[in-house]
Amino acid sequence: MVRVAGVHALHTTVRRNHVSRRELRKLGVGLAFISPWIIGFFGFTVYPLLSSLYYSMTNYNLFSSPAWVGLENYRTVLLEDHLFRTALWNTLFVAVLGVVLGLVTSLPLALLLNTDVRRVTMFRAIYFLPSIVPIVASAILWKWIFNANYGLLNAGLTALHLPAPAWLADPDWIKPALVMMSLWGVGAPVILYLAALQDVPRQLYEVADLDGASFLQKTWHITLPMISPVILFNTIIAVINWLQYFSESFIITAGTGNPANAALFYVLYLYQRAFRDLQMGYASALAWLLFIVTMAITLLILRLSRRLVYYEVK
Amino acid sequence: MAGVVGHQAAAAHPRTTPALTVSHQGTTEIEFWHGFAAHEIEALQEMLDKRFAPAHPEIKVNVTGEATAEKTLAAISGGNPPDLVLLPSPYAIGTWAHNGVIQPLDEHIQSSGLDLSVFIPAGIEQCELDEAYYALPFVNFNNALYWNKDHFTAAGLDPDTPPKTTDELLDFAEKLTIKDGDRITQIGVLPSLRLQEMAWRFGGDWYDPASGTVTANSEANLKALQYELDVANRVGGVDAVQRFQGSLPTGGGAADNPFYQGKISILVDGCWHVEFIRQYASDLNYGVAPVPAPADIEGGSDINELMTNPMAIPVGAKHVPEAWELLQFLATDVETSREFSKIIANIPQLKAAATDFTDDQRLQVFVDLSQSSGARHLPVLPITEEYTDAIATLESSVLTGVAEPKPGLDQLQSDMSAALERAGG
Repeated sequence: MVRVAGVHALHTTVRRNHVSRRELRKLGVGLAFISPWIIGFFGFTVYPLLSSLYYSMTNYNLFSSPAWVGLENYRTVLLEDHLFRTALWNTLFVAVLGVVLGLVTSLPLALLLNTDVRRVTMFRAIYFLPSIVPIVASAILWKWIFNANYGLLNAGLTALHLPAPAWLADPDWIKPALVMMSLWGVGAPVILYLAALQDVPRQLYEVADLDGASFLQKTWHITLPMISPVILFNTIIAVINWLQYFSESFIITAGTGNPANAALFYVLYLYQRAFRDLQMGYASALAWLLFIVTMAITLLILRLSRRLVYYEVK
Repeated sequence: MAGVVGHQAAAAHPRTTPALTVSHQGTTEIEFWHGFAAHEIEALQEMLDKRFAPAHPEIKVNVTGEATAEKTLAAISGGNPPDLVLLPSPYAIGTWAHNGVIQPLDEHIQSSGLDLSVFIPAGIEQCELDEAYYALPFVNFNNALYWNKDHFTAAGLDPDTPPKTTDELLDFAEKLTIKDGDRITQIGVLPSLRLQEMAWRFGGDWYDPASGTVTANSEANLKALQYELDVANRVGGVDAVQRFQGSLPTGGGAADNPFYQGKISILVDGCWHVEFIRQYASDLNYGVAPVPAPADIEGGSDINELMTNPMAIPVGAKHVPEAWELLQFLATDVETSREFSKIIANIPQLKAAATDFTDDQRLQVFVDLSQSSGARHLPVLPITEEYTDAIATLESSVLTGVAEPKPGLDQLQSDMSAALERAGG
């Protein structure tokens, strides 16, 4: 008995050991396979993230050791820095305008591109194309479109007897101009909407057809609720992208944010503080404040959308 | 043994003499980063091959062009700096020196017996912060007034007489402007005349070194800014100018410059246009003169801002003596200065290179201005670049009707005083 039990115990131990060794090896192999990501994530994301939080509470110029100043940078940004307020205002302005206009153009466009017209795939390709044009190329192209006297846009406006502003030279119009420019790249969210639209079960429409529902009724009562999670996703991504708006403004204004700081966006300002003035601590504080703003807006959208978004799977 | 080594080396490089092979073994490689682009990269490399390499076989220079400020700063901060850098802007000297990005050169200047009086004064003076030299100048540039002689004739002005005073410039600007209704189709002069320089011409300044204080809102600076607003009003008003400005080509290409195309009659801009006009608009009938100042400012029209392409040795550079050799060569070699000035359409930083530099009387105006007693530079401060950007933004704000001159300058005064204090300057 004892022997048997011993053998049995031995067996279990061996088996247990055997299994756990294999499991351990599997785990090791698995970790090894994802190690590039793990190393990258900790080395290039977590570590810099935490460092920047530390640097945001220091005076740091990249070259001498950081000097602890506590919350001084945050106090200066929030209470004394009017450029911070200008940059934040400019950024929120384009974010609101850009997200709303982006939604009202991309969604109808996706609905149209989801209909059964001939050559619909060709149209889909046409509308997607601009979003793969490099930012620099499209920015230079749009500078010409916005030209006050010779631009395509003002030629059209003048023909319609509408006022034709100086666009990029006018502090009141440069932000709307930049938003318009971004609508050209609306193809990326449209692709996501198209994917979602094709996932809406056909039988829902068939049932609605039997009830004699119109196109608008079907869109309102079936399509929009069914793709609402994707609308939410696209909206949040758009908000985050607009809050980090940089490249186009950098190219169009040659990094100045002029005319009259009307195109000084948050990240452009942060860039100036970091790489022009070498105030890395201050720039880190600006970055963390942007993170807080982004987080707050995202949470707000999530909360407001709770009743509007329909998730099929509970 | 030595014979064997020499033999092997000679076999590997059949054409090199044993003596050269020995020195080849002692070669030091140094890294030189600059921000020049395109054909300028090759031109600089060629000049180094032609003039520096034969005299310094022990130094091999690896040149990297298109080095941006971010890339350079990251490399220096990361402890792997190039040995010699060209700064992204003359205004970066103060910031980079103050923050320990680049090292003082005084020891090398002394030990090598470099006579700083070979440089055009305003160029070398802007390399100095707190009585130490942190950089040496490499080809300079400055601004002057270009005028379109055909426009002058068409407006009933003498085509060979540019405006001599700011009052004349106002009159000329108005006479030369052509409108179609409210819309300007040809402008006499753009009102944004570079406030940072115009202020000097009105007797103002941006900083008082004696007291170490910002002087942005001085009476003279206000007059200069008010003057630019007057120009705007005389040529059709802020809105019309803004609209005209919005119609100018913005591609950045030299060929579609509005002055070359006859949309602007008087242009205040850099020396490079002389070369670009030769290349892209050789038919343009134009002259160059100093930018006018008010009649009551003595020597006012000599006043111009001289800027340079500063070169410096980063802190932590691994081959400082060799970097200094290269720096000294680039800064003081007369032929290189002449030749590279021509290639990038700038003007020489050396007095010796500036004589007989050009046959073109128009380019000579820039060379003369750079050596005149009116040649100046912005104060070298930890915040110089932030300051110039803020001046340009104020100028833009006033000329687009967003800000008023007086409150704008007061705001600039308090902003820059605070910035200077924060930077510990």
